[in-house]
Parts: sequence; C-alpha cells; structure tokens
Amino acid sequence: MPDMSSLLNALNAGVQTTIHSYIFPEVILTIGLLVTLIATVYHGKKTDEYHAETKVGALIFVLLSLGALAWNFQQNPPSSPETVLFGAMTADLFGVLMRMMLLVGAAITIAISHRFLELNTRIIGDFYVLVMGATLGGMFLASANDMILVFVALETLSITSYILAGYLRKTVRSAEASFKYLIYGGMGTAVFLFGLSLVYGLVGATGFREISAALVQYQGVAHPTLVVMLLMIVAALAFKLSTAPFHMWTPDVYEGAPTPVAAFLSVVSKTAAFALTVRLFVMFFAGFPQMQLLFVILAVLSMTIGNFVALKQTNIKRLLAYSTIAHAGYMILGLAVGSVAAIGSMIYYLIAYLFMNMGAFASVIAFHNMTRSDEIKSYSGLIQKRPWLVLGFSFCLLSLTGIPITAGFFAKFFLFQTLIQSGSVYLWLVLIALVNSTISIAYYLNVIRLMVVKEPSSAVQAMPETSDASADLATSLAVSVAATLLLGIFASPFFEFSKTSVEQLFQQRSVAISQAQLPAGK
Amino acid sequence: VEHIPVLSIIIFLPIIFALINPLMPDNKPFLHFWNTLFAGILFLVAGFGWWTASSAKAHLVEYHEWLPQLGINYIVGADSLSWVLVLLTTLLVLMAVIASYTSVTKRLKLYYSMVFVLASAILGVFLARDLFVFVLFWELELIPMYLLIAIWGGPRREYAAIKFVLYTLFGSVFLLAATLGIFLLARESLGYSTFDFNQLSQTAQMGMATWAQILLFLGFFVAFAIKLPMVPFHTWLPDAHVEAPTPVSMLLAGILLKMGSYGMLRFCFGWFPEAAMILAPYLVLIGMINIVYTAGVAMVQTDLKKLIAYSSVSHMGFVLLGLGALNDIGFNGAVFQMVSHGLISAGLFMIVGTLYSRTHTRLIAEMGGFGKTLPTIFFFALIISLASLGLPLLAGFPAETLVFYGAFLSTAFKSIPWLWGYHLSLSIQTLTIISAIGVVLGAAYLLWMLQRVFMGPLFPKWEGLKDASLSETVVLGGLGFFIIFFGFFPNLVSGQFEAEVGAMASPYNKIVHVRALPTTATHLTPEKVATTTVNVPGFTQAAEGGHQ
Repeated sequence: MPDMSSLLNALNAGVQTTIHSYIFPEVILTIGLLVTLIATVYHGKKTDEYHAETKVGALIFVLLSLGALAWNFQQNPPSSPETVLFGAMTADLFGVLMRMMLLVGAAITIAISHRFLELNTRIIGDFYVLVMGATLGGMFLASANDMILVFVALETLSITSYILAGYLRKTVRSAEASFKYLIYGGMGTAVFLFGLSLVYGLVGATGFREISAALVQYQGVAHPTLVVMLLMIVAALAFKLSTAPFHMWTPDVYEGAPTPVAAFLSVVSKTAAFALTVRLFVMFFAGFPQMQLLFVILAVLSMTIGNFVALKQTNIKRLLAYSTIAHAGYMILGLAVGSVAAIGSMIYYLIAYLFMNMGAFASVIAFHNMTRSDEIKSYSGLIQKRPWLVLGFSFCLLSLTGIPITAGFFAKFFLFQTLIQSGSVYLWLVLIALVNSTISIAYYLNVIRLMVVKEPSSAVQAMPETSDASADLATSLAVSVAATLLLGIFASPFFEFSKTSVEQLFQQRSVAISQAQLPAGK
Repeated sequence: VEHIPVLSIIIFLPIIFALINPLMPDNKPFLHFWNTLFAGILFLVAGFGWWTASSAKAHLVEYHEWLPQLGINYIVGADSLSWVLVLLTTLLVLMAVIASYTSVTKRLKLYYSMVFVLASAILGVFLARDLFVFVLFWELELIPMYLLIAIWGGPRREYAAIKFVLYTLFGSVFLLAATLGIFLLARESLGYSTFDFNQLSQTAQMGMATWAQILLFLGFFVAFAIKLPMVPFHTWLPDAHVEAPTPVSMLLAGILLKMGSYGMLRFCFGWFPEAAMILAPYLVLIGMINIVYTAGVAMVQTDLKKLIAYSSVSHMGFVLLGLGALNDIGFNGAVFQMVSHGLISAGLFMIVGTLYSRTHTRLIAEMGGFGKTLPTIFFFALIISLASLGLPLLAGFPAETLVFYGAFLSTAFKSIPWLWGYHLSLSIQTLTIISAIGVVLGAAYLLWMLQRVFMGPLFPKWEGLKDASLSETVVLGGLGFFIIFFGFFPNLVSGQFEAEVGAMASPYNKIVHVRALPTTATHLTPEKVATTTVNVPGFTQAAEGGHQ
C-alpha cells in the first residue's frame, strides 16, 4: 500500500503528474460514456435517426479511445513497466495489448448490436452506455496493480454485464439469463472477495508487487490459509472464465441474453478475465508449482465437457457457448505450463479467439436478424441465399476448429508446440487437447455442411432474394474474417509481441521480489 | 521474368478465380464461358512457367520467411517432376471445366469455385518445398472435394463424401505424425528447426537409424497409400467415383490419386532409401495384388463406372510396382504411368459420363449397340480403352512397358523375408510376371466392356440418342490427342523428367546393374552413355524387348 506521505507529495506536485498519458483511453471512454448517457436521458423522442446517432457516437468514442491507446503506445511505448495512479495501475505492454483487444471487441460489439436491438427493443442508447461501462471496467482490470482496483473494476464489468444480459426486458429468457448470471456472479464475487481478504490478512498489503514479494516466503510451504486463498481466487477466476466445473451459467446466459451481449460476454468479458488471471497468475502463483495441477484439471474438464456437450446442441447460441467453454479449456493449458512461451501462445490464442468468435457471433446475429431463428437446423442451405455470409461464417467456424492457415490453427499450433517443448510431462495434455479438437470438427463442420450441402430450410426459403444485411454487420464480419486470415498468415509478429508482453510481466515480478529482498539482505 | 513469382501465381490464381465466381451473374452459359476462360488462363500460365523454367534450365524456387522461430517458411519450387504434374493438373482442370457444360446443372458458381479451390490445393501439394506448407495444401484439398461429391453427387453422395473424408483424415493422422517425427529428428541432428525439404531429406539420408527410417517411411506411406489408393485402403474410391459427377471423377482419378504417388516418390522413396530397400519386397507384393486383384474385381462389375474405377485402381498398382523396382527405369515408368493414367482414366470417366448423361443408367446390362448411334463417342472410347490396356503407340504402352522393364531388370530382392526368418521365394521378376496377368485381365474387361456397351443390338429405348456434343468432343478430342501424341512421342514426356527422376533412384545404387544390359544396344553411342549420368535407355529399348 502506498504510504500517505508519498501520496500527498504526488498530489502536491500537481494534477499533471496524476493523469498519466497511459490512462488517456480510459478517460476518453469515460467522457464518451457520460456524453452518451446524457444524450440518452435528455433526448425526448427516440427516433431512428437518434438511434443511429447514438450508435455512431458510441462507436466514435470507442475508436477514439483505441486511437489514443495506439497513439500513446507509439509515443512512449512502455519499454519498462511503471506504476500509474499512485501504484494502482501498471503501464506495461501486457496492459496495452489487452486494452487494445477489449476496445476492438467493444467496437465490434457496438457495430453488430444496432440492427439486432432495433428489431427486438426500442431503447438503445443506454445499451451502448452499458457496453462502454463494462469495457471501461475491463480496461482497468487489464492493467490493475492493486487488489482494491481489481475489485472495483471487476464489479464495474460484472454489474453492467448482468444488466446487459437482461436487456430484452420483455423476454422471459433474457430476464432469466440476467438473474441466473447475477446469482452465479454474486457467488463468484463473494468467493473472490473472501480470497482477497485472506490475502490481505496474510500479507497486509493490496498492491500486487508487495503481495508477490511477500508471498515468496510461503513458497514450498503448505500454509492452510494460503491454500484456501489460492483456491478461492482460482475458483472465482474460473467462474469468470467460464471453465468447467464453474461453467453452468454460460449456456443459459448466452442463450437467454441478446446475441450481441452473448458475443460481448464470450469475447470482451472473457478477455478481461484472462488479463486479470494472467496478471494474478504471474504475480502470485508463479512461485507455486502445485497450482499447476488446478489449472490442468480446469483445462481438461473444460475442453472435454465443452466439446462433448457441444456435439448435442440444436441451438447455435448454446453451441457457441459450449465452444467458448472448450476454448477456455485450451487457453488455460498455457497457464498449466506457466512458462513465458506458454502464456505467450495463450495470449496469441486469445487474440485469434477475439476475432474468430466475434465473426461467428456477427454471422449468428445477421442470420437471426433475417430469420428470427437460432436453431441450427434452420441454417440449412443458407449458401443459396447468402453466399458471402456463409463464406464468412464458415471461415470463422473453420478457424474455431483449427483448420490450417486460419488464426485458430496457429493459435492451437503454437500452444501445443510450446506444451510439447516444455517437457514430456505435458505430452498427454497435448494428446487430450488433440483428441478434443478432433471431436470439435464434428460439430463445427456440421454447421458448415448444413449451410452448404443441404437444401434450404423453410426459414431460409422465406428470406428475400436480395441481401438486406446492415452495413455495420457486414463490415464487422469482414473485419473479423480478414483479421482471422491475416493473423494466420502473419502470425509471427503477433506471437512475438504476446511473448514479449508476458516476459515483461515476469520481469515485474522478479523486480518486485528483488526490491523487497534488497533491504532485508543489507 | 525472374522476378515474377510464377509458382505462387500458379498456386493462388485458382483461389482468385474461386472468389470472382460468386460475384458473377447467375447465367449458365456466361458462367461456363468465363470459367473455361479462367481454366484456360491457368493452363497457359502453367505452360508459360514451365517454358521459362525449362528454357532457362533452372529450378524455380520462391522463399519467404513465415514463422522463422519454428522453422516454417513459405517455400515453393518446381523440379521437372513437379512441372509434369502441374501441367497435367491444369490440363485436366480445363478439361473438367469443359466437361461440366453437360454434366453439371445446379449451383454453378459454387461448383466452379470449389473446382478452383481444389485445383489450388493440388497445385500447392505438387509445388510445396516446405513440409509444413505441403501438409497445409494436403489438408486443404479435403474441403472442396467433400463438397463436390456431397452436393453434386448421385443418390448416395453424402455417404460417399464422408467415406472419402474419413479415409483421408485417417491417412492425415499418419502424415502429421510422420511430419512431426522427421521434424523432431531433424532438429535433433541439425540443432535448429526446419521444415525445408532439402534439409529434411539430408538429415534423413545421413545417419538416421534404420528403425526410425522405417517408421517414418510407413507413416508417410499410409497417408499416400490411401490416396493412391492401394489395396486394402481402396474401398473409398469406387464409392466416391460412382457418386461423383463426371468432371469430379475426372479430377479425382486424373490428379487426386497422383498426390499419393507423388508423395510416395518424393518422400518415402526420395528420403528413406534404407527403409525403401527393406520394404520394397512388400510394396511390390502389394502392388502386384493391387494390379491383379482389382483387375479381377473390375471383371465382374455390372456398373460401368465402378468397372472404370476399379480399372483405375488397378493401373495405379503399376506405379507401386515401378517404385518398388528401386531403379531409374522403374521410377521413370512410375512417373510416366502417373501422366498416362491421368489422361486415360480421365478420358474413360468422360466416356462413362457422356453415356450416363444420355441414358441415365450406368448398368452395362442396359446398354448395347451404342457404336451405331454414337459413333464419335465410340471412336474415342475405343482409343482410350485401347490405350488403357496398353496398346503400342498409345500413351499407356510406354508407361507400362517402362514399369515392367524396370521391374524385370531390378535387383531389389530375390525373395521376400517373411515371419520367423522364413522367406517367400518370390523374386521381383516373378512378381512382375504375375503382374502381367493384370494387363491380360485389363484387356479382357475393357474389350468385353466395349463389346457389351457399343456392339450388339441396340435397345429400342435408346433409338434417338444424340452423338457427342461439341463440348464433349472437345474434351474427348483433347484427351485423345494427348494420348495418341504421347504414344507416338513418349520421349516428349519422359524427356522432361527422366534425368531428375532417374537421379532420385541414385541412392539405391542399382544403376550399375541396369546399365549392364543396355550397353549392348547398338543405337546408344558410347559418348552418350558416358556423358549422361542417369540416362534412361529409352522406350525404344523397352519396345524392342516387348516385341521379342
């Protein structure tokens, strides 16, 4: 915890030093959030023009924030990590990368949700406010360096997500999803908070660096409080990551929530949760190899349950929900190994997953807009009416399967390759993962087979001949597909960047530990 | 010209065509015309590439860094073996597109897109010089082929398509395992990661343990044997052929099967000579079974397309036999057989397609007397069937003769090691003679087929059938032209690749034995023998031997 005098000194030094350029994106997003909120509240008539304006406004602020992030990264790249906001945040490559992904995810979410909301509900402005709020929470989470900020940011993300899940007020399923998510989420938060309180009791600090330095003395000791604390934190994170056996809420929430929200939860929310998990893992758990077993169990259970249950799904949103669970399982494999290369490949996986899953959800929304159906059966013969949609959707599904030259393939390839290189102990994990990806071929390609090979279903036959897809949706899908392809073809630089960012995280830990030990050594 | 990435253009041009197709208007003649033009352009580009490369006597290679930390790079290159197959592929794609005029009627845009994606994948397989890239293209081929069978096929199309995919995926598992195996072994001996063909083949040939060679050989072999297809992995092929539409059958028999034989020659025999020498007896044995057994099966087929499919499998057995001979003549024969089989089997499937599109039946029992009403089709059926059964002065003859010649002169093995030290006393010569029964059977079932389909009384219901349309005549004429042309001038084909393919046999050190016989030949001047290191003593030799 920063002591009072240094805090006061910093305050006295002037406001300029307190607003570090690193948090400009957050500042811009907050302004955008407020502007959109005020516009929503004060605008009397909710006309179509007004809806379009709010969408464009929200999108502009998200993209401005993204621009600020990129500009700041280009102007002063965080070559060595430094603390911002009195030690509550860290400015580092990892934070930049994660926040960039969150903003891209938020931008795509806003773009794909507009038409869907127009068709299903009429109050739209506050939806974007909520999305921006959740993204803001995620962004603070991604570079948090203090437990208090982690909790606040996590709650910002969670509470907005609960509301988003229930956004379709008049639909029972949406309300059910929201309530279910709230109860499960509340449990998760409680467990997480309990874990944090144990940390504080054990260490007496809330800053990540202090905690990681203090935890060194417990390495190799089976301290009961420590074990309970780690278990609680991992359980709460596993809930956020929707990994089995904490996955029960995922399919129901995805199915009930508006589809853009499901996309948001499965991509942006998950990216934020992974950012937190990786940071906590590196700062806290890296010294505790016994934690790996927990992650191995989570990974194997998630992959297997996700893939097997997905085989039997008839609703595309539930299928994508189980596929999300399975992908979380693959990604957790990186934590199970815990080396720089492994976590680096996991981050690359996350980038690839962002685009391919967003593309898949964009296609599902486009299809829903045209037919009002989420049944997998009704996708039959879609190619005869909408060849480009099928091409894009198929590409994203192929990437999710891990078919070569897509980003999904390289994500799996890097991850498995790192696992193999990390030692023969992990070979059986790779084997399980390979068997699982083979199983996943069945349900992903089944959708493609239906769309391409089968004769048109009644829903598809009822569709108009000419395309009526909105430009936002088409652009989002095109961007997702292009990114999935380019990430695959030019995988190398992205992979290197992810690895460097993780390397920097590990450096932070060792610096924190050595700084703490220096006075003691004297 | 050197700065144009010809090979990459050849590989990716079809993908561009595939992406242009959905943008075109839904007009059938328009689509047929443009796609024929595309296929023609592809053929010309490939021809141009081959011409520049052969006139400069250079191997084109393109190298781009891709994932250097894993040793994966985009490397494509073409030696003469690749060029021959690339030209064959582009020619058959053109023929298949023209053949689609009459045989494919629904969902043309997607159809042509898939044909071009398939072409791209196959061209990639033939041109890749990085094992990782090779595997990518190898797997890419599955998707368009699955769709081509599953959408445009016959009544049991989905069953056939899934069967095809499952068989190929089963092979792919072995291919991946072998790829990973040789990658890891190479990294151990080289100290760095690489998937480059040249470097991998060097590590394979320098001090790799024999057991490792045998394992890797078998790993690659299973994948390629399924594609070839080799007995007992051949059962997917008749189903796929029977269900696939005519142009897809032409592509399947004409070039897809060549991926298997190409891979065998390139990897199994090119990289693991020790393993090949140990395993050659079994390969030749299986090749013999392939030839004779499937010829026998073809004999009893009632379905015309199945008959042709089994005949196609039977003729691919000659490739196995030629490779198992482990000498330069055998290898050359195998490659020649790939080319002639590509032309002949595509032609035969085209004949079946023309008959099917008129009669809507494939049962031989329901046909007869077509020679009178369909003279043009009969004419080409006769030429192509005769080429298939190995009549001299047609393309099948030099290939089969070279294979027999190479196998007969081979010193690969005198007996087949069997269990517990017991040897089957079957030398390669004996097996070759038994294989020759396959040729006799081939003549039998093809001539019998011709007799039943084109001779005899005409069924009254087939009275008003029209003879070959222009597009059909173009396809049959094109294929027929090359079949006759290469029959008269086999050197034009073999001259392309004989030196390089012959050099692939050099690790087997059998050249000395082969050379011993032909030196007595009068028409080979001593200088010619002395200067050309891996000279194959020509087809005239073989032809003389055959006529004696």
